[in-house]
Amino acid sequence: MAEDDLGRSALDPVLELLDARPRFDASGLFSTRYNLHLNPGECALIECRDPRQASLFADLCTGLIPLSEGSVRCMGLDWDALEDRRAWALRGRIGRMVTDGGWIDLYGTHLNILWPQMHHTRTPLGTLVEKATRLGIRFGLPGLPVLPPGRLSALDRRRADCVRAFLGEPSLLLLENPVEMFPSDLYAAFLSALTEARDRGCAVIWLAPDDSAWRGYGQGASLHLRLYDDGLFSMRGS
Amino acid sequence: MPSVEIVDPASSPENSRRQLFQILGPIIGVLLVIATISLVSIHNYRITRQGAISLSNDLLTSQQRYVTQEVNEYLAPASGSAVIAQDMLRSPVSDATPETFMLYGRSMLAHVPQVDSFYLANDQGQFWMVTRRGDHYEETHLHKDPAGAQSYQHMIVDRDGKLLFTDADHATDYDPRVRPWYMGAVKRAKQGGNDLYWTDPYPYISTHQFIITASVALTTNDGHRAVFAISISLNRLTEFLDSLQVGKSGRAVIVDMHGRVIAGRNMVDMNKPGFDPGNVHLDPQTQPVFTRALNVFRVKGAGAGLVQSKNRNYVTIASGLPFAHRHWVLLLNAPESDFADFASVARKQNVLFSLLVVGLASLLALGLVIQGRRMERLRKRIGLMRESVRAENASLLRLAGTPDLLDPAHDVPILTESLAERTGARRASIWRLLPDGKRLLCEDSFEMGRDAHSTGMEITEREHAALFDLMREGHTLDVPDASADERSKSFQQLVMRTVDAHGLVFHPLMSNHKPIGVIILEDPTQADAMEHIIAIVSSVVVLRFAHSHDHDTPESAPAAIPYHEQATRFDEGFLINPGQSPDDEVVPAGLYAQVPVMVVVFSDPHSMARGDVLQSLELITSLSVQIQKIARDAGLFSMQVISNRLVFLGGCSQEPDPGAALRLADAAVSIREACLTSLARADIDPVFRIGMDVGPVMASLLGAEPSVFNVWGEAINVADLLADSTPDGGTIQVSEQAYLSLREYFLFRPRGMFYIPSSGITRSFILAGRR
Repeated sequence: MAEDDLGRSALDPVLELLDARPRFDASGLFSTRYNLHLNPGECALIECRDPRQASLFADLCTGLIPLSEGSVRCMGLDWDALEDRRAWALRGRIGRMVTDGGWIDLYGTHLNILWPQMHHTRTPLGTLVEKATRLGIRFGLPGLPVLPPGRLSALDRRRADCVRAFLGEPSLLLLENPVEMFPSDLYAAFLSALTEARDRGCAVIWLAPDDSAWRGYGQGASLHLRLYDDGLFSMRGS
Repeated sequence: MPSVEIVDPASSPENSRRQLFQILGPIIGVLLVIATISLVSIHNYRITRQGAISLSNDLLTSQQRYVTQEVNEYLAPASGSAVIAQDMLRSPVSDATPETFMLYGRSMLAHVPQVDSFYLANDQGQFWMVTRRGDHYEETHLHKDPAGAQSYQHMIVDRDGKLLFTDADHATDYDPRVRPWYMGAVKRAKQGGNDLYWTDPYPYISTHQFIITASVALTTNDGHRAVFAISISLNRLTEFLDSLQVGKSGRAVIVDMHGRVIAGRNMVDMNKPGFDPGNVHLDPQTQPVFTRALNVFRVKGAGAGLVQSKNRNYVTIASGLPFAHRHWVLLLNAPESDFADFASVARKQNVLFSLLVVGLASLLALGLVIQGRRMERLRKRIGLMRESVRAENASLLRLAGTPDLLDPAHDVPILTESLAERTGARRASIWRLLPDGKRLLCEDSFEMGRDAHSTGMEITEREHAALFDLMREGHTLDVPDASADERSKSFQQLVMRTVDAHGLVFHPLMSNHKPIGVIILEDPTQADAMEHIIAIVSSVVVLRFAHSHDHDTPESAPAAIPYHEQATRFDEGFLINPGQSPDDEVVPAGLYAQVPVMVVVFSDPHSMARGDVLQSLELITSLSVQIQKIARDAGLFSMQVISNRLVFLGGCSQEPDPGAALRLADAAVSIREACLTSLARADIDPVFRIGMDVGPVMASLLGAEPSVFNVWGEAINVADLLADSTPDGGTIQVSEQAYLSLREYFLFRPRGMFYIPSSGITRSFILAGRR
């Protein structure tokens, strides 16, 4: 069914972890069963104190970690059933903010931002630049930064992080502690973009070391979870 | 987004393979059918042709046997005569007439037409001959008179031997003993052979006969050696071969190993004057088949073969005639088509049938391809329908999840957004019928292209009477060109023309059979998806309007807003009026190329007003006074308040004024300090940002009595953008142009390079302080 492009419904979950047990030897993520069901527009706030574990969990969601059991389905497609070409294309629909930034300092920040969309889509470059610039201004940059990421200030790099993650109207956002160091204006712009993306049907996983990162946004989330070594657990009262 | 993806992950390669197979499968099928039919046809043709050739060979072999038999019989008198002569001609040959020889000769000449003459000679030079002369017979004797002169003495006799007359010819130097037939027979006898000696054929010019002579040596009773010879004319053999039917148009010929024609079609002109039958050879130009067949015979010996000439295939057969002459070869040929014609006809029929089958198969394949494409279109249509249903479900989900959906006190923009999104309309709007029943008020209008909502427009029955009539009757109006329809023409001109829309869907909303409003769609593109979403939104809107009507009872209607007549003040936005310059000059309107502009933005007052509102107002007032003083002290050109923004102009003149930017930057630093200090005292975060640029602006006095001075343009926009995008609160961000003007007097920290659509790649700097 997952192979049939007509079979997917808009109401199907964007991300589904069904007893997914990663192989510890191949990933470093504890080999326990993970279960998660995330519908379009839903936001899962996941508390995880270990940033490395959070990053691995995000890798698990993007099908980068081999499983010994269970399945991880993204937009109705099982990662294990997809050949590489389609799997990479599916990852093109995911926006991600990673802990270490994931920047390539050999090129300008603008190329770092535009590359995923240039690689995965036929969107004209002018349109992409226009959208990226608009997002940059929205996140508090004067435009689209063209210096290498290493020469930007840490805060501007975080702004560029946001631009890269939200560019291309992703269907799934995997955000690893995204609001670290965020000043209030950037936080407000980030939440605004996040809410807009969710309204569009984008599902969000927001990983943070503690619940203070969410500030007042916790009430707007659909799921509150904690990521421990032995799996995902609902937070009390959620 | 997915539509522009290079690889659609949701699209399985199996689908692509299936589509490819739907097209290629039938084509490959047809090609296989064509190939199979072609192979079968070729195989059949070859089998048939081989059969036909085999049959032809059999026929030719049969013909060859027949001809061989005929030739054998044709030459048989020679053999018979030789045997008889050895027994019959024992009497010595002398000048006396050998009656037995003559009698036998006349008898043979009378009954065997191919026999031309008989010779009898001995070793003493005696020579007798009998042959035909007209209807009679000529008996010739070589006579030698005592003087040694020789002559031929001819006695013309009839069938019974009765002498009719005589005559004579000179026979100078004729000696039968040196003739080939005599010498050959004697030589054969000496070698101990008893069989016949055959001479080579030779023409007998006087009688136009092509003669071959067979001779045999015998010993007479007197011990002398005599030779008996019989000459056979080959003319009749030519006539026989020429009349022989080989296939439909085949030929037969007898040649020797050198290609000289012994009998056959080449010799039919034998009776014509000047024809030399002894010098007729196969002509490779006109008789290539016989020539080739003879060459093959020379190499391979007797047998059948296939020869191609002038694009025609010929079946040939060649065999020797050793009983007649060891160097004679019988050649027969016939075109292959004479025998295999039916195969050719069958092949043509096969080709026709094959073409028919291929045509039918192609039609079938075409049908399959068309059917496949149709299936694919249906599949896509089903996909689109599912997509539509999915989108409708999503819309429904969004609608259902909208808080206060039915509460008329809350705006629900999702209604018009869903309408526009699902119907593809350029603009979707919801109108409410006001209580007087004569006006429609636009509750919400969503324009898809601009992604913007608007509200408040009103249309009246007086101007759009036909539309109001439709609404009251509850009839939906759906016209592709509203300007061409009298009922909607005025609406198109008044409302739709602003977005250049032409198609109109006017859907009345009825509650208890009474109109309460309308839904209007401009330029909808997805007609098939409209009905459902309109019905859903209509139901929601009707409920909302129904609630609204309940609330809008005269008793609960709010009191009218009191209206106070007062003069409008235009100049209050300027804390420092541009007209307050020392010379009190009015700045002329125009474009000013190098104007230093600064924008100070304060964050949302709500976010900073966490304490007492009055205290906040006091702080703001105090701060504004300080800023006003700073600006005045710095000698700035103007300072204007717009909501939570302050816009400063360092100067505004057509002549370059480097001091203006410096004054403005100086003021910026002072303002920053003043704000930081004041806000810190009030325990408030630095909620202000400052942007600064030097660039072109337009300036003009707007309005009259009073007129108000206003500036706008690129420098204002850039300063505004820089203020909005400062990296942190309480910082001053300046443009590259401002940096170039100020860098010698102030300290800056570069923020980086940025691409801005209107300016290209540019740098921005954070102003730290004075040097």
